Amino acid sequence: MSVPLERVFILNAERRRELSRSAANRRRFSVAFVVFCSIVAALSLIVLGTLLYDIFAQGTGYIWRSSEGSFGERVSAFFGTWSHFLSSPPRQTASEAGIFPSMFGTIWVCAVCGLVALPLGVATAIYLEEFKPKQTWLRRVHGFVQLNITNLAGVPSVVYGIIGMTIFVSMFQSPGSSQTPVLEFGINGIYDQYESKGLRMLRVPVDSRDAPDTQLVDGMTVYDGQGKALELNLIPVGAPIPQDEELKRRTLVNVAGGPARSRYIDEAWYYVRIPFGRSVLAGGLTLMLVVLPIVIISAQEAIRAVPQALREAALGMGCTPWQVVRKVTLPASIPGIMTGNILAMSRAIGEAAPILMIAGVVYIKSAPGNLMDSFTVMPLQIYNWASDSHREFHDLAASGIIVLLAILLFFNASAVIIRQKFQKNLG
Amino acid sequence: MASASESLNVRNRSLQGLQEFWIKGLLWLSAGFSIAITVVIIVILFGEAIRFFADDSITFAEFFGSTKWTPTVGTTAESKSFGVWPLVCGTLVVTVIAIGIALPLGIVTAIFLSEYAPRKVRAFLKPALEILAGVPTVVYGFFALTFITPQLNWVHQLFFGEEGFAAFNSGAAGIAVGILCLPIITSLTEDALRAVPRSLREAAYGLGSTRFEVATRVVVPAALSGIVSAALLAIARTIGETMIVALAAGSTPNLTVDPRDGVQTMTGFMVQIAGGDFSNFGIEYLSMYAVAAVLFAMTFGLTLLGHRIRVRFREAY
Repeated sequence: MSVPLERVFILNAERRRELSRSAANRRRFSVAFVVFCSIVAALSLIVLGTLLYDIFAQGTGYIWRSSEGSFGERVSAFFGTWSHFLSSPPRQTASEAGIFPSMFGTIWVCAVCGLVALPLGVATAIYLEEFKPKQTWLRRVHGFVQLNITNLAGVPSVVYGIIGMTIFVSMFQSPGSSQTPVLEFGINGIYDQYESKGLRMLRVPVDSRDAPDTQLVDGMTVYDGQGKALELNLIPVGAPIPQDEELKRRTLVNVAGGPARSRYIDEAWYYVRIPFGRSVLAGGLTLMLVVLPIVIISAQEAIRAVPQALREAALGMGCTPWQVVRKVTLPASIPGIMTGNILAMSRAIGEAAPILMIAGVVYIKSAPGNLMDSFTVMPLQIYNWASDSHREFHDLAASGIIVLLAILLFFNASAVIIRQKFQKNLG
Repeated sequence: MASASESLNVRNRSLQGLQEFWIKGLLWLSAGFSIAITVVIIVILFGEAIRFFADDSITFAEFFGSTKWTPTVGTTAESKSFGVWPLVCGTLVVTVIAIGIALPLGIVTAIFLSEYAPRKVRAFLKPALEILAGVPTVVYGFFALTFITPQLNWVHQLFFGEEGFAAFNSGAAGIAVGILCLPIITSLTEDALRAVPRSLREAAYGLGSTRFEVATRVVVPAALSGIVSAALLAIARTIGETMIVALAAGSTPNLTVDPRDGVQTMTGFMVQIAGGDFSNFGIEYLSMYAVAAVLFAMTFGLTLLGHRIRVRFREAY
């Protein structure tokens, strides 16, 4: 307190000049900093632009370049190639390959994931937000569950992949495998399958998976791929192959040890087995583990946004806690919950690492037909193409990415629309 | 009549009580499911890791001491070497590059968004960052492989006269992971900056501070706990990132910090084993669980620490 007054308020002229100069410097520096900040912020826009441009150029450029003729013909060839890409299975030659099975794989896996994660996640969120206990030790459990969910959201998805592989695919290395399940349900029939001289599948029903090979007899009843009964024409080795197409289709050559045989399992659409193996169900449940914390956290936020006054009004009119949730809180927070869910699903669509652990690097030619079918998903197909050493497959990967991004855009746009349209102002 | 409706009401009440009880139980079960997931993760990872270490040819000292990682060489356990450091090193190189890019850029972008950006610019920039955050990681991996690596080589040629980056390198993977982390850091930091009350800024302006001084001496220090926790969460995310490194960083476990060389990260190794055709019961398969346990311990610790810092050091206004 012994500072002389003039040193605080009265400055000499030189000191005042110095201060004003430094103030101008400070102002100038500040303006420069703001400019610097805006340039850095613009960087992320530039990165996004470069990323999108690079992928679109690579994913459409080769299709455009390969088309010929007039402009109109080139445009129609361009869309023809795209529809071929969307409707064909992956093939060894890049120009014939498509993304069809992995698109359906994505739909199946995400349906399983959403159907399990949505109820489970919303129920957990309701418990955490609406049923906060009053006892001290229960409150501690409550806080522990909350902290645990925060931590689960930070676990890398590849770790969930390993967990899913252990729990769902091999079921803790249970003795069975996908070929020899411990338990199965929903088999229409088991057949021995032969390829006839007319390139048709001929099937003979057998009793079980490990039944002995069928002894083929000339004239016995066999079934074709459509289930139509035929009379088998078994000819010895060296005998002339019949010219008649109808006869050729049901002709097998009886080589030593019997014609080449494979066992065909006709599975119903509801077929399930234990262990699940590298199946759609295992993949979907694993993805469920990945997105569950995201679903819970976003649903919690949506529920928390419902004003307390609404709950108190309902309680005051004699509602039980569950009635408050069912009649007031849930209806009011449904738009928020749906938005969060759609965003979680778009995360699931783009997730490749856990599916890579579950499905492996496989070559899938058709869309899955039941929950136990092997599958692949779009990000995994893109990964396979991108890690191929041939450049043509990189182009295919870029095309696949365009399809993937379009689907994600559709999901995110619908999330935004739901948010805009159904969000009521409750405050 | 009155007594009948009354008894109906009472029955309804008790029925309702039963319903409440069941529903509460169901909700409790689904909340317990998330605890069960954590328990299962820990039991599986560390249980299998213990089985890995129980093998006679594997020692703890080798796993954490040796610098040679050759689990797929040869057929016997003796010909393989399990020293986890090359994988940890690969992960750290990618992490350092990614965070070195994403942290400064992310913080500066967040300062711009929360302090300076006009509303129109913000309305443009925020969705762009959200799109960046929503792009699947396999896309970034593809971008790193087919765009960033050639560009890095172009720059390298400009300075050194020759292409120096291998087809698979940690530099491009690190940059791509950095791009992935940028929106995460930006949005978490911006939340922290926005939570600083207006009165603090106004007080500083009132004392004659410039916009730069208000941002760096008042707002950022006040939001420091949020920024540190954002950085920790981003590091955890980087360590666990899989598809980018699987595509762009290569699969050679190198003990190198040169960003031009290929490395294998912990996640990259897990993908290689799971995607490859190694036997499901071999020692290299079990080593995947040991690596996953190390990875899990690292990310779990970082997430926990980030959470703790955010809660404990939060400046309450």
